[in-house]
Amino acid sequence: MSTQNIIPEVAHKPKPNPWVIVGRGVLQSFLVLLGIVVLYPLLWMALSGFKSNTEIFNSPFALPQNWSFSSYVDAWNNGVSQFVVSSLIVTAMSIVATVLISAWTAFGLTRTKIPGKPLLVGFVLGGMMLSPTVALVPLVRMMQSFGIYDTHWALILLYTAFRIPFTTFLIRAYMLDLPYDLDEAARMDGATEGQIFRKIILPLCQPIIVSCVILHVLFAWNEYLFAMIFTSSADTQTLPVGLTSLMSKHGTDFGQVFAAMTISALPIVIIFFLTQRYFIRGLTDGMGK
Amino acid sequence: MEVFSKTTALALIFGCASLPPMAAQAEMADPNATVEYSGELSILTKFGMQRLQPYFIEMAKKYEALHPDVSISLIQEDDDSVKGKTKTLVASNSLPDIFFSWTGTWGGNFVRGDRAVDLSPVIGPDTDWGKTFAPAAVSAFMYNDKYYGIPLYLDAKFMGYSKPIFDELGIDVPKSHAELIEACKTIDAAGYLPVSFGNKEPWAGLHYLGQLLAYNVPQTVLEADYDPATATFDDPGYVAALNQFREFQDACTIGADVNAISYKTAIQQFSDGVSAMYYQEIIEFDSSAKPTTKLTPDDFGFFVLPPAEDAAGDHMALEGAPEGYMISSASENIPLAIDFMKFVTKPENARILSAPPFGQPPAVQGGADSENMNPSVVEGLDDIAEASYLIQWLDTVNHPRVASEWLSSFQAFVGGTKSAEDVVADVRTTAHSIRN
Repeated sequence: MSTQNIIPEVAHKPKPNPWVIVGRGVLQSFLVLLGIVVLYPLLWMALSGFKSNTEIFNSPFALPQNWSFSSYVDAWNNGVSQFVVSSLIVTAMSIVATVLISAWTAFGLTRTKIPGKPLLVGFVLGGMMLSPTVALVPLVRMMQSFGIYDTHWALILLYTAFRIPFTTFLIRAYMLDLPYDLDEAARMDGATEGQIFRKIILPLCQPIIVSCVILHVLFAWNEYLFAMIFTSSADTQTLPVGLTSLMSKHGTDFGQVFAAMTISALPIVIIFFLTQRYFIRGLTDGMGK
Repeated sequence: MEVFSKTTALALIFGCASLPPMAAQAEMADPNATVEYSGELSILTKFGMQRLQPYFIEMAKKYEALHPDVSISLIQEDDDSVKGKTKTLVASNSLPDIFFSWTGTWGGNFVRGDRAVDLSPVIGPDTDWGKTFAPAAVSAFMYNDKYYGIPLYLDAKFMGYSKPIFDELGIDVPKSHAELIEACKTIDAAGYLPVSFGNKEPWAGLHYLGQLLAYNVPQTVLEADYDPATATFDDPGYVAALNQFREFQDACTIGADVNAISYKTAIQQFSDGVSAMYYQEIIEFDSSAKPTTKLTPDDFGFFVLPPAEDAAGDHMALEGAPEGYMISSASENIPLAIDFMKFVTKPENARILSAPPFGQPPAVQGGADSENMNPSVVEGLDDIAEASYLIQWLDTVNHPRVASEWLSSFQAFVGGTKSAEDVVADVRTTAHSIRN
């Protein structure tokens, strides 16, 4: 008898609150809408690469009448392939330089005894306050005197120099939270400062370093001002500047321009989707604490 | 994002460029100088667009083949980036030996700062080289009675029209402003858009006004008003021109909403056969009617925007200007730079520029390759040659602040928020404020 009384009570599930269901529905709809708002422009850009000028202007939101890849092929052959190569070289080399120098700097600023350290920290991080545009004219003269004006090296050097303060700021914040016992244990085992950096601290900083890499990719891939001023020839121009050469005041093939934009956005979108886990974790780890 | 960074960049570059650069020294070309065919020559072009890029590359290769000790380095920019690049190069005192320049105040700034070589002894109208150009093209680069520029190609504004629509409705090419208005009414009644016009970029509308001012205001008055020191802007022709434009806008376009339409949309409407007319530059002829567009090159016709019969200005004037190159006064090899430009402007090389895919109407007489060129462009060149006076673009010939006032006030006029009298009054006030 008693069992019969108990079982219905245990089996009885509490009635779901209708407001919770409505709330969840609203939230999910909002997130779906947000997803559409973010993804639709990208999709529209990719679809416009299949359209002619007439279709783009007269029915911008319709599907393409002809699914031909000709605009993509033309864009690729009209210099986009070269711009992609330039962007890859500049981005990859400046990433390596920026992250290594910044990590080494952050290590020095957090885990070594240097006299006047707060001053040094202020000096390095103060670089974030410097506007690149203000330094443009002297930089042109400097690059010309170095003999690297209109070469990939000019952009690699500038991107590295102007991103070191911010990257150091991120890595330093992360390193401050790593226990100092690790360094002491390593020292007792006879490790040098270089070994502590390479074998202990750097591997532990992996999440923030991945975040820094992604942030740098976003910056270097899309940077326009330096690329416009410091490169001139088609061989050295990166994507943002190269894309403008596909457009002209008179007679632009917009299908080709959209195709080129899609090609240029593709690597960055792929990288972001592949690494978003690190990106969000590393960024919050580095900045939140 | 890109637009933002670009605009900000240009604004900031302009700020940088206004820093005091090292003083430059005025130079004058020596027609008897010996050309030393050795060393490096740097050139800043405005042919950075994919279609035009190969021209200077080809010229440089040919010249280097003729003179093996000369090496040429090219900086090729497009319409927008050339502005930022030029300002940075000037500010850093590293202007190339040869550089692109527009006519009007843009070129005037190089002259004012002694950055450009006075080319009068080699390209003046009485010189051998000068005689090879269309006279109006050379004089467009005249500042303080001296010649500073080497015109490369010509540009002028014409009304392009769809022959099939005109034939269908039995309309003849309008010879006067009144006939144009009547033609618009007929086209509108037939369900076509008479003229596609986009004034989102306000220079597009100012091009109409420039031509109407040439018809309504005497040339001497116009030229006096370009200079803020002598500007009065009290000629009744200004208000008359604006009122003619209003009449045109009401009858031929969609009205005040043109301020929301880009000129690129307008040209597309013309190419798609939606509109019967589109006011365009001669260098747009090849792109507004292509074999692949609904309006084919055979369907394409053009005429000069017709004047009002009672207009008090010059009825044979045409709006347009050449674009060309200057020689840097800091160049270490001025004779070589001049020699290269003489090479580029030889008729056989000008013919390459005029033919597809470049299609730029050359400033050199006899430089048009009529066999390979679009026949409409060849005809347009004849009209340019016949014009009594080439009135330059209002936004480049005026002082930058006056130009800016013209652009904003005229856009407000088109939008219906300003009267003709107010536009002229505001431009006058701006000109006077510069003088004071």
